[in-house]
Amino acid sequence: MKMEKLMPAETDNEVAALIKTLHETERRLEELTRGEVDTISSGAGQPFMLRRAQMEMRTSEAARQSAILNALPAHVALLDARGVIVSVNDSWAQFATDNTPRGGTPFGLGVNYLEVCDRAADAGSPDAPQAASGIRAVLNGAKEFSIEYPCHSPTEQRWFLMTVTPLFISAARGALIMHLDISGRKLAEAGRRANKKRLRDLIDGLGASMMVGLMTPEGILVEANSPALAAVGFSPEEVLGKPLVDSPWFAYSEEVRQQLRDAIARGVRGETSRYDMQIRGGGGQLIDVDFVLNPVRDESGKIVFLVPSGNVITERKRAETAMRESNEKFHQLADNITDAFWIRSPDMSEVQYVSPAFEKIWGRTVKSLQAKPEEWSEFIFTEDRARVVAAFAALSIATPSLDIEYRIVRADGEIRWVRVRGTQIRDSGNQLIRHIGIVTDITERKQAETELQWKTAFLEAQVGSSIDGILVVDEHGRKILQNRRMGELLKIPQVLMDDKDDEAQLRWVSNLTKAPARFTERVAHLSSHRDEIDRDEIELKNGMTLDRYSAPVVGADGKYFGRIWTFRDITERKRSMEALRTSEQHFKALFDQAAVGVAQADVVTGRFVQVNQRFADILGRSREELVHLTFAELTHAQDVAFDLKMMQQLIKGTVREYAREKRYVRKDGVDVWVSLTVSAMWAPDEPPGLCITVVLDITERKRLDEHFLQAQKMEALGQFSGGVAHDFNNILAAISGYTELSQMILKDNPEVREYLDAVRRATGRATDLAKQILTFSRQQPQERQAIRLQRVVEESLKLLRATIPSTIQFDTSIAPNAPTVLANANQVHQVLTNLGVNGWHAMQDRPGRLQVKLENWVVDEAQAAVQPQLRPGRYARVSVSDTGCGMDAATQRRIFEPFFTTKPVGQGTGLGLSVVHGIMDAHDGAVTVYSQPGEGTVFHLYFPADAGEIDIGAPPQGSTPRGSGERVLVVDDEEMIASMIQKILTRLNYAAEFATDPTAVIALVQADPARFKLVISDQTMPGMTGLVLATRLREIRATLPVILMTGFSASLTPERLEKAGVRAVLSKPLSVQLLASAMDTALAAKPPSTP
Amino acid sequence: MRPRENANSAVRFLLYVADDTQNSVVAVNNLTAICESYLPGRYEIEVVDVFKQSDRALADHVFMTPTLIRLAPAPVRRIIGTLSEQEKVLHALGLGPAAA
Repeated sequence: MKMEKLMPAETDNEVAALIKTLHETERRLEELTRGEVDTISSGAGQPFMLRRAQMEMRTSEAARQSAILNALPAHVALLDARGVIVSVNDSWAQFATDNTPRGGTPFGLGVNYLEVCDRAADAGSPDAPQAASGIRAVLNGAKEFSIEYPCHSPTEQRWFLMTVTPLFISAARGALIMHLDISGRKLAEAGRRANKKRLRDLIDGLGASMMVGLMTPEGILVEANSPALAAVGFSPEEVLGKPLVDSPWFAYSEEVRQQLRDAIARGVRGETSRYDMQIRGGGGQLIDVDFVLNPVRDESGKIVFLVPSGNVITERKRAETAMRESNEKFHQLADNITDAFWIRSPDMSEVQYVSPAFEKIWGRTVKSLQAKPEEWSEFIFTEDRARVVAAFAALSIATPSLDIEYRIVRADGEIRWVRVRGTQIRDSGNQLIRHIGIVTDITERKQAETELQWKTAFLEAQVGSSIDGILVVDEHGRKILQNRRMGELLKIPQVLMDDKDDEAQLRWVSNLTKAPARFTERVAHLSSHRDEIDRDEIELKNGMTLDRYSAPVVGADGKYFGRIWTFRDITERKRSMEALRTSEQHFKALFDQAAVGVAQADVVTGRFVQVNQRFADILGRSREELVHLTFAELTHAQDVAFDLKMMQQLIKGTVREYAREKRYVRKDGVDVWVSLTVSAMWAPDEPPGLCITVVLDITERKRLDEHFLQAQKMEALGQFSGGVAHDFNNILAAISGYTELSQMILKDNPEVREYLDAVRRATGRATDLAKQILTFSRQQPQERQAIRLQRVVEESLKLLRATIPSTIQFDTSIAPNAPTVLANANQVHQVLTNLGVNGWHAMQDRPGRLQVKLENWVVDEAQAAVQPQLRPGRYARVSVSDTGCGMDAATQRRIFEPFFTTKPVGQGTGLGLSVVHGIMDAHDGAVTVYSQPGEGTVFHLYFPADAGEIDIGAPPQGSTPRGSGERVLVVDDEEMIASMIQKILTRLNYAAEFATDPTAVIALVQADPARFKLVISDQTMPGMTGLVLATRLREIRATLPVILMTGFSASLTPERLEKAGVRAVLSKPLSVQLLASAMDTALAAKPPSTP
Repeated sequence: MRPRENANSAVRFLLYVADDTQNSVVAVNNLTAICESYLPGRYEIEVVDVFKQSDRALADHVFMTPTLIRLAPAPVRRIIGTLSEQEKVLHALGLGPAAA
């Protein structure tokens, strides 16, 4: 050793001495302390353990470590650097002993373990070389080495794990070798592997129709068998380790996934789920499976896995299942059901099976039937036998089964009804193999049926044929019965009709009604008031009216079954009632408001029974008043007799109705003209009790008729008086003319001139009279101009005021805007004078008021209707009213007649108002009168407005124009007149000639057309009128002026005059002044142009 | 060893030992047995390893282990050895039937 070389040799003795001292010291200490001290300390306090104590400690430590090693299950050995075993534990020692081959060296202490391993390798141990190299590597510095190796003993299979751990012992390298018996683990592993394989083979071998998997409680699929994978065509990697719900089998439908989730949730709770479902195959097809999800528990009961499986449901399986179930059911049923069940041989001769119920139904034993199967048909009730036997005989391939009801006779003689359902059973080759049949005892049912059939038939016939809609509901509002009519009436949809619950139908019906709330309320009320019977009229929105009746349905024992509702269509009835009411109303309205009076009267007493308002109005009495009166009391005295006579005829029946015009007397005494139709009201075989009188007020018509008659009368009077006046005029003209001539001649005899003046004045008055007559008869030629009446009225009033005493007050009202009229101012003057004087006279010198009014007036249709002489339009109306004695109606009707006068004889001509009438007619106007006796009178004069120019023509005035010796011809058939005019014209400085024959005049003018400057001719001449003469003369010489004279000139229209070239028309008798003017004008004027 | 809970008891011991040497272990066992028998609930033992607290052994003038020092009650007594001769130990400590 190097250390020995470092120490000097001389120190050896001292060291040896010190060691000796040390040992001596220690020995002495031990003696002194008897070995009870372990350490001693130096003076510096450093403890020094005694050798004995050190030994004891070392021994103790080794023992402890050995104990630990020995306690290990492993075989532990300590190798030195060369691989020699330096230490082993007990188990290694035991193992080495046990496993040393016979005659071999035990690999105990002192044995080189590497050599052991090498030998084992040489002996063929497969793992030994690896073990040896591993140990060497560790001894050479490698960290660690381990190897598992089999070490099978003759009796058992063993595996060991050898670990080699490096170890340093006293600075030398070594290794700790440990063999651990891992046979248990190895065997377990191998077992598990084998189990797994077996399980795999098992689940794979379940068949292509059984799909099985394994998943964690979280639903992760960890295993799936081949059929399952094959079904989707996936490799395990594609589905394993993933949630099963997301797998292709399930992922196609959310519903299916949810089912699976639920099943997993149940599985986790330890429940098994089983249901039929469809999984999706790889080709997209759906496969029906009987799906089961089972939980798997470990030893502690914890759910560790879930096993999903799907058994493909094939047709065969279905059939098998069905068959199995069917068999089970058969046995359960056949032996237990009350129905009898039998199986017979194909020819029916043998009973192969009959269930125990047979005995109950037939009252015979099963054995007796099996003993004599042919007797079955003898038990059939005689009447039914042939039918039943025939039905069984008729069974064939086409008709393999029957369902027949018939009667049997039991052993005790009782007759029972049975229903037999029999079927031929054939094999796949259509070979009949057996008959089976089920027999049900339906006797009770039949009896009940028969009874019910009767009842039902009766009820249905009643309900079905009812014109009412009928509904019967039970106490819960469910429909028991409802007829078709119900549906028709209320238009109930079939789906509601079929609905057993009444609720929806009730809503439907209620919605049809006009008052759904009321309907619903009534129904609710009645359903809670069971005893009530209720009837109501229901109006539907469609116009229908239903009579709704509801009554409880109560059984004989008083049990409440429900309620019957009937609905009857009473629309027509309601309508006809309504129509009747309407008709009555209409009739009443017609009666009350008719434009004609209608009255019902008793034919015998003549008393009014009923009158309408119009009738009352016509008679001026109230309806109440009238029903207390008889027609005779109301009829004008002069008209009663005829009615009374006709009434007798109505009663006798010789006359049924009559019509007439008669007068009633109103309450105010005024007569009312009516057109009357009286009809008897007939009752069969009875004399008429009442008559109907229809009355039309014709007072107005009567009045118009009178107007018409008046006009006709006036016209006739006019014609007559016109004719008279004409002749009269001619005579007066002669008197007047010759008087004037006499006066001209007797210029120097004042006395005769005075007489002649008297004659002239008288003649003048006579002429005026004749003129007035002519005016009234409109035979006086009118010269009308467009004038304003204001001035004429004012002038007339001035004259009247001068004439009438001041006791009569004048009221004047003149509208400045009264329209222009086409009028003859002189005639208007005359009209006003006549009316004014008349009014004065009516006031008979008593103080009074005379009112004259000129105003704008518009005649409307209404006024025109009652005053036929007026047409609608604008008028200037002049009213003259007095406060005099007035007139009654009769007087009013006659005042315009000529010569009618109320004045004493000699005080009036009776022509004044007729002249007014004539003038107003000639002015296309009218005069009307309103008067009441004692109330005064008002006359209205209507002048039609003229749109033309206003020309206030001044009457011709000044000196008489005279001729310049012009040659003129006077033509008149009356020589006296012609001569007189010729003389007058001569006096007026004309060279006048006269002729009496118009034909001669034509010849004369033809002979010398220029001989006369003018021709003045009478119009009315025998052989030729003045107008014709004028026309002829114009043909000869167009420029020859002609003047016509006429007293009667109706036919002379301005057109004809102009056509004939007549320059002027003079009315006879002639005034010299007018004649002179006309002559002068005609000669001065230019000749009319020749057409 | 840790002091007994009864810190105010009359008898307090300080036992010097050396690691787990045989005599030291025996001394600890013997002392504990004596205290449990004669001073139940009235003693306190502190065990000091001289290899770990050699300066403290020096301060207490302990030159050998095991050494037991009775700190209280006074006077301080020292006993060296395994304390196996119980009568002598009890006599030295003033305990035991004779003393009582």
